[in-house]
Amino acid sequence: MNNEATMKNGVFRRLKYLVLLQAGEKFRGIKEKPTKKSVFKAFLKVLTAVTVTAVLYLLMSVIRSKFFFTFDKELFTTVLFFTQIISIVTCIGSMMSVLYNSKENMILMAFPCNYNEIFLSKVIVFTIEEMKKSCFFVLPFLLSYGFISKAGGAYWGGLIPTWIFMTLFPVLFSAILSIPLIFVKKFLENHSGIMAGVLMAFLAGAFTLVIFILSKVPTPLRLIAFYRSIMQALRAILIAINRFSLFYAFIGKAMFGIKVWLYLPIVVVIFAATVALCIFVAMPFYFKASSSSAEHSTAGKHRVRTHRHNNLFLTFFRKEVKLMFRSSQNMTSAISIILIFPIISYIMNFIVAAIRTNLYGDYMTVAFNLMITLSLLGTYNANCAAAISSEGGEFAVLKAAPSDTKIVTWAKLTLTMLVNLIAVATMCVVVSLTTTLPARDILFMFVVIVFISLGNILWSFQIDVTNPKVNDYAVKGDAVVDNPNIAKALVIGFLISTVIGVVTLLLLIDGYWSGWIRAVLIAMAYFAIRLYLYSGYLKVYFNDIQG
Amino acid sequence: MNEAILFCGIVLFAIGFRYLGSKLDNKQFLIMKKELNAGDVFFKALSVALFLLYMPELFMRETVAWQIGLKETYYLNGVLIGGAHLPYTATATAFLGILKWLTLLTVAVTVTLPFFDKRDAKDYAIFVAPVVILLNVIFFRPVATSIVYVPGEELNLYHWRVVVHACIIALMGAIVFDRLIRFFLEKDYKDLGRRFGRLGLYILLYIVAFMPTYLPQLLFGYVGEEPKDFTVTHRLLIYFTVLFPLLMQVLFGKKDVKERRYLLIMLALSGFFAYFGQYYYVGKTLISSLPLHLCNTAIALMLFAYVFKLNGVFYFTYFVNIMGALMATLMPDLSGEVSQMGNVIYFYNHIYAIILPLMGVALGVFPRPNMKLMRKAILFFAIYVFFAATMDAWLNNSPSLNNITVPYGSPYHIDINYFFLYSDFFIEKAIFKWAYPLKHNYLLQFRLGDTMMTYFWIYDILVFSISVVMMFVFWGIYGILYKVEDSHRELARRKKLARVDRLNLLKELDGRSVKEPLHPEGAHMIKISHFSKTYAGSTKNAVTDLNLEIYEGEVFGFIGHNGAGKSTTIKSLVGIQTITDGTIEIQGYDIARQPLEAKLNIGYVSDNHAVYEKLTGREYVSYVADLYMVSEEDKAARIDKYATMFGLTEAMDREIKSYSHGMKQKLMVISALIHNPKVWILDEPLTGLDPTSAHQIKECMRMHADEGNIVFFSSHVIEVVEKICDRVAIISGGRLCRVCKPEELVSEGQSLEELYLMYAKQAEQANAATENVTAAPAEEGTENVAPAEEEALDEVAATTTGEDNE
Repeated sequence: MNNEATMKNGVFRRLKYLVLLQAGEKFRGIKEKPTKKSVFKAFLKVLTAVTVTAVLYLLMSVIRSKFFFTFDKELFTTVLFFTQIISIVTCIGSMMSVLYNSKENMILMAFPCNYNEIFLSKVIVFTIEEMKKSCFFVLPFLLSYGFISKAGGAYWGGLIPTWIFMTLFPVLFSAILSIPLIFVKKFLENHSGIMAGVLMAFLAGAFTLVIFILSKVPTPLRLIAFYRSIMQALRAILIAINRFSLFYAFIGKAMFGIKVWLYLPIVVVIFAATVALCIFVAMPFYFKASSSSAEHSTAGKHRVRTHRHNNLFLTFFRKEVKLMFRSSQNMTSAISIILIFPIISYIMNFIVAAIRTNLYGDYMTVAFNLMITLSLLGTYNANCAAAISSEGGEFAVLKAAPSDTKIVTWAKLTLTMLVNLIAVATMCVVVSLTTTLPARDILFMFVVIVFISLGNILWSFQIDVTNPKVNDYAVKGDAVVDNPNIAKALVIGFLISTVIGVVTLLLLIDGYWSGWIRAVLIAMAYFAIRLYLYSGYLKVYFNDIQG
Repeated sequence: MNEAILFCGIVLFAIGFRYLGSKLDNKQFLIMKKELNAGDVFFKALSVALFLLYMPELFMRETVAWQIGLKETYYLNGVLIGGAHLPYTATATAFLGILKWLTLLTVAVTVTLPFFDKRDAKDYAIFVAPVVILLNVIFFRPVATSIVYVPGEELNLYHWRVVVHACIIALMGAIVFDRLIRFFLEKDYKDLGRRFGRLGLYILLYIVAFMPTYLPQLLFGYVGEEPKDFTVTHRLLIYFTVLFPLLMQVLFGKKDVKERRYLLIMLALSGFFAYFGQYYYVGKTLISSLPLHLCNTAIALMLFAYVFKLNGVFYFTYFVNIMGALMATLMPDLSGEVSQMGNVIYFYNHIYAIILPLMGVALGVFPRPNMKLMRKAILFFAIYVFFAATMDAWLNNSPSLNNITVPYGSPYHIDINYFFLYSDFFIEKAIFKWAYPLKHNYLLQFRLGDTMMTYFWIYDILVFSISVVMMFVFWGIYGILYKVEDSHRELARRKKLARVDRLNLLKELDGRSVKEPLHPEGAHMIKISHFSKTYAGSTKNAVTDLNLEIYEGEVFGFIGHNGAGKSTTIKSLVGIQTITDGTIEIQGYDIARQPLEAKLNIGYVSDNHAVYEKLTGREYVSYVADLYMVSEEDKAARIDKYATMFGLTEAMDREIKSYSHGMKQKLMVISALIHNPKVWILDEPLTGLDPTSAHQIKECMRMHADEGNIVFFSSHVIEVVEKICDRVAIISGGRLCRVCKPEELVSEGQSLEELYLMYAKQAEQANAATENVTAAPAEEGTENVAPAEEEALDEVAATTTGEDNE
């Protein structure tokens, strides 16, 4: 009896230490006495959350007043549903890295603790991280939605549980889904042909679906003339989604005070079932999935010609290409950015072309294309903010090599730039096929996008050079999911794309030829500045990066 | 006649004051325990008097300010809208306008002259100011006409404003005359050419700042594009607002702090003169037309903040004024041509309200804000909001001031609207419409005399709270800008450092190519001299003052306890880590300054076995061979040789991820030897290897040394070190303890193990002792580059290059 009790206590103690061990510095501040700096930081975070809430509220106010949109439980459920889908999709990737590909698994599994405890501790740490992030979107959304819809007591009472649920559910769900997916991923990694086929099939399916949906959209899409029917259609879609997303509809109904006594228990039961599923199904598979090793595997055999490159750049470049082609993650993201581009470009241009009615229609199309293309490229290019860091332990090889750092880094950058060029070129072809934009507009757009996105790549790289995370990658490998440099590069990329889109629109309105010339000059100046700064930072900071 | 009398009066006045000043000079007296020169105090008092005397002239609109264009009649789009008031020809009026412009600048220079020891200002007083004063005397009648002339009336030369103007000229004359006399007495004629050049730049900078706001409409009439929306004019003004502080930062960033403060005071003064100079008090009473709007107050507050170094006032403008002024500059929504005085005043006001506070921090005259300063700013802002709300509550409802009877209970009489607290300016905007009921449903009313004071208290608090939030948002934005500035400064510093290093290297090479060894005499060894390494964020040295020489043909063992500094030394040796102090030379090449050349001679086996796991063994070795520029034949032969030697032939075409730990270690050995390096460095190469593999590597090390190369390795396996090393170094606690041959120890009757344990124990004790000593706190205020360091850097650069850095 005593032993059992000790064991039980031990579980929680071990779990606590495992969590603290993994969370590391993130929790260090909790035990320490609050300092002025920490209080100020906390204040700034609260301020950010409040600002986001205010912005969301204002946005909703504008939508309500301009489009006569009703903020009711149907819309709430729909937003809930879609944000959850996005959360689950993003969580799955990170979860797979954290659970199965983390290098720290080797250390954790050697500890005198149960594998289940390691699994749980990882889920807890991941959840806490997600909770922190959700303070800046999910919670502000719930608050502002409550204000705008003038929600009642049930809503405010259920706000905190819903927030916790909305954060926890994607984590649990992705933990469950990650089990089969990790096996599929490993299988596909060893069978790149099948992977390419699956990817192509998926994209082809997506493209077909898009074309099918778009064929249903009437052209020209006169938003004002069709306002009533569009709103009716939207309402019908909302109701359909509510019907389909039963579970979220229950939450919506409970929050808006409809049969709380019925829907609340159902939600609790479903949530409990998810937790149980996670514990009883996912957890037992964890050890098997995470402890598999490629040692002695006969897969991945390649015959190579060992011809020598006189050009060091080519040596590095060839290595980068090989590593990209053999890494399913890198390969997938490169192929995705090249192949998804036409699809998104097609959808966007179809809609813009269908609704544009005013004099500036073409300019709007250009601005949208610039913004969306640069934003999408930004998500891919942000990875350059880990270009050096992601070398991890292997960075020592680069550093010890008798080669100019510029060559090493340019080889890395060139590959990303090539992917960018191909993606932009593909996008331009799609734009020329799907819009009535003149060829010269597309050409100018191509030039602007290329220079801006190359500038963004250099900026992202610079972020990594000045604040490298080599040791994090050396310890965790690909499981580093919260690299602040990447987040920073993403934000910068998004801001730059928005600014460029707006500025180009204003310049074009100001004068067509002068507008394009100025836009191109701005893009070139941006690239030149980034190139200058990148060279400077690389020259003086690379030597400081210590593996 | 009058002019002659005036001229004589001014000359006598100036001579009298100069005489008085010279008598007082060098006479010391005490004020609040501060020893002061009476002469200095006298001239400072004169300049303060000049400033105060100038105020009436400044605050009252002159006749010349009403004139539109130089011609008698002025038409705009066919409509007569004005014409000359002054009874002079167009040329004479233009000359007058320009003279008044120069006078304004001269007043500013003379007001500040006694307070700053500034060469350019003194030269202005010597070479330009006398001419301006003289012209003012000669053309005194036209100048007086431009001030008080009323068409159709005779000019009254004894009008009090004319008398004040005469006194201003006299006071300026006194200050300038003193400077002129000193110039001749001290025979200050040195370097006049250069001084004239600098004086030209000085005038160029300040002449634009001190332009009277009526001058464009006087000289050109109503011209320019209406600054509404994003017109070219408006955009140019925005570009100017952004670029001017940057330009000043570049030009004045490295100047002395007094020089920077002088610049800011002069700009603040110009803003003050420009804005209040021709401010038109149109209100029903003086008090109701005071410029108490946020941006108006900023113009006066900035001057006070810079002159008297008032933190609270400055940070109020830094956080609050910029917000309002930025919005006003971005969306001016003005009507009328750009040259109209109202528009010129508008832009002067708002552009100054943005750039002056920004430059205050950017030029380091005021420190970057912290929470304490922010609190002061909020407090000051709270006082301002309360004051503005009270003025609004009073002025709008006072029957006597408005000269109309306002019935009680009907508080709306919108006229005065300081900080937009009284009107619906904000809540008319769609985005703030929600606040409408908050404003109009919550009133605080009480009677004060005959006035029903009316506050929109909830609304006032709301506006204040939102503004405070915006202050923090601005602080966040400033924070980002500070970071950008810091990173660019740091980049510039490091670049300079790198350039100095490079120049020193070239100097030491004495005309030889950088591809040659820096010290050819060390071409057959590794030479470590006074090497120390401190990691970032640590105050303790990982390695301290390590000196070592390793020669060709040697297998050199490097042993020490965990954390002794072995890996740190090795990583610095191969160029992975930076060197804090001292030098490391590989075959005569300095690893820090000739890294490529040095690394070409090194083969390195790291302790972490990190290799590109997605590559095959052959690809990886081939890749490394290419880095070291190995020929195709040598590469193939060596891969075959070593793959066979280590039993990896079968595995060479498999991806490395399928290798065992030992296989990876062997692969690293192969890649380290692929270019047959002169120096082979291994960091704990035998860890985790089976006896056969360990034996193979040991054999390989011996063979490599026997071929005339250097093998340097660290290990914990003392038996191995004892067995295969020619010499051994023991490092403990970051310090080299001993270098010896294993056979020496035998002759001393001591084993390497005993020696190792002894040093390890000593290090442990020393470590325990150090931990008991409290580390001294880091010095504060080191966030930026220390000026001393920067200067030292400049000096080195100048010495090395022979350039004058300035």
